Amino acid sequence: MIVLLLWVGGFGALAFFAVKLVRRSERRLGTGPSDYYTTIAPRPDADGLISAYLAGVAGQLVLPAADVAEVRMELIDHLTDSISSLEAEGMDHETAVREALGRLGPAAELGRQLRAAHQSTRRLLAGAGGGVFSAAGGFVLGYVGGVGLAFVLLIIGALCFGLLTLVGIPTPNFNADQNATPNSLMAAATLLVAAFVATRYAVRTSAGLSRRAPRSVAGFWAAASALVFGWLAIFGSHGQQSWPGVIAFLFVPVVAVAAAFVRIERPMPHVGRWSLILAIGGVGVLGLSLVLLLGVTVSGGGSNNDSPSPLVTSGPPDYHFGIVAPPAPDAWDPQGSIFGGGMRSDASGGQLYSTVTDPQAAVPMSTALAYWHDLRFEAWHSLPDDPTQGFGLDTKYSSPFAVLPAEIHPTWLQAVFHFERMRDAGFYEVVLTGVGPDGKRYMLDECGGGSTSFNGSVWDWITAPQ
Amino acid sequence: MTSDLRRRALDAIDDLDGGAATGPEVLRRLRENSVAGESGAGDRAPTAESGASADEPLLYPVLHRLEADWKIRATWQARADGTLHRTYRRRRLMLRGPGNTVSR
Repeated sequence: MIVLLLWVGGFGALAFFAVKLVRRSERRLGTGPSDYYTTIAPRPDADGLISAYLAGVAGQLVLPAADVAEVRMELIDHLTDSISSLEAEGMDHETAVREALGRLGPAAELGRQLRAAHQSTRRLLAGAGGGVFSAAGGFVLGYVGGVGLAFVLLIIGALCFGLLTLVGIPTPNFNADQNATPNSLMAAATLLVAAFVATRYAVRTSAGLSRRAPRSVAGFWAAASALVFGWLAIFGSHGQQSWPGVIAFLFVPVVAVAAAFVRIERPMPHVGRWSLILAIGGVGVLGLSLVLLLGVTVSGGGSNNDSPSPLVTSGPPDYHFGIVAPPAPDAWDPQGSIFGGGMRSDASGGQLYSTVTDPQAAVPMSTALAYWHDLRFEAWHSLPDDPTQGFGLDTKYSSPFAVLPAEIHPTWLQAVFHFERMRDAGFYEVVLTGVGPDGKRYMLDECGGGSTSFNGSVWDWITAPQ
Repeated sequence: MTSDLRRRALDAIDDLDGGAATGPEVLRRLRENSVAGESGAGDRAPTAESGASADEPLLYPVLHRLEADWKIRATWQARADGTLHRTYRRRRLMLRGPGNTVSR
């Protein structure tokens, strides 16, 4: 509990101070009606000399808007003071204006000097550090927002599918892949939002702190974000995967680059208190609608439960092992030596399937396999554990999706499958087969089955064996 | 030239003893200090007018660089007539009361 509070508090503080930092930079990057220096009215400049000079200076500045406005106002103040002094010495107005402008030197040179003065190395370092900090805070905020957005999309999707089901239109069965498609899409959407917000925060903060135009620092942050978040999307994020989710993950570096450039000069939106309240309320209303709709679907759409499925028969179920190979003749199975098989988790994270000899008879494996060679464990797709859809192996397939040679030990055979690294293992059944004295392959044992979904990174998915 | 002006501008702001000065006020102090230096150095020193003229194009780049380096602090101050002026003061660890300073 304390650890959880520390995590929440730490990330909350990080996000809070990142927002403060971004808002500080936003004030530097933008000039709004509430900014005090916009209330300074330019002095009358009938001949346009001062305006032209200021435009020449501003043309070389390439600084955030607030800095340009401040430089402009300060120079107006200086020129006004200087012109007044010169006029007090007896100069006429036009001569005084020319003299005052001449004393400041060429406009372009002054602009370049001011730009160099503002864009110091110290500020560049502050911008880089502040950018990294606000990117971290922005990632936390974006992640939380992304989770919220993903849930909203999930709720909307569920509502749509619920409505389609109510009117009798068939919808995709996500249970077939253990919900890997919606789960991976939600994970990708979360990372997409987090990468977008983090990059945006980094660019705006570093621009404000280093006194550079956002577009001039966007290239650096685009490259850094594409590398960091691209790595995170492709190699660092582990979980269930699906092709739609993988494609969404591959868009993460693209979104990071877009976040650094697209409309980057525009101020960040200010999320006020009422916006947050409305957003949370909206999620609540959507969630409640989903609960109500599910209730209606379960209570009103349950006609399938009223009559037994035609697939359910009163006799023993057919597991369709005939598609694997014929059963081994008893004559080549001395003393019933291949006793039975089983599965357990392996230390490597895989599933270890084994077949043992009869522990009562204590037949050595060499004796049990006297008639057999080329023994192997085969993994076949099976039907989901749903009585309405039948039992046993899925007869759509005519070959196993994974085959491993049996490791021969004194009293057992074994093989370790890594179904969690296969793209479409789904529901499966593992059997032991071997080649008999007649040169034909027979099924020796059924070792059990189960279901799994892919668990790994995007890279693992792309490079998976199937 | 720039480093010399940096030092002299910092000295001029130091002379304010914690007070604030606008750019034109800093420039006047530089002129005054040049005049004082001229009277002390005889014929070899530049004239106050030529020194001030040479300083003026670099005055704001130097002040802004000092601000960027955290040597001085710039704020906008409102005067009695309501006009705002950018003022500079030496940056200190313990800030004085802001008065009518509009700080960012």
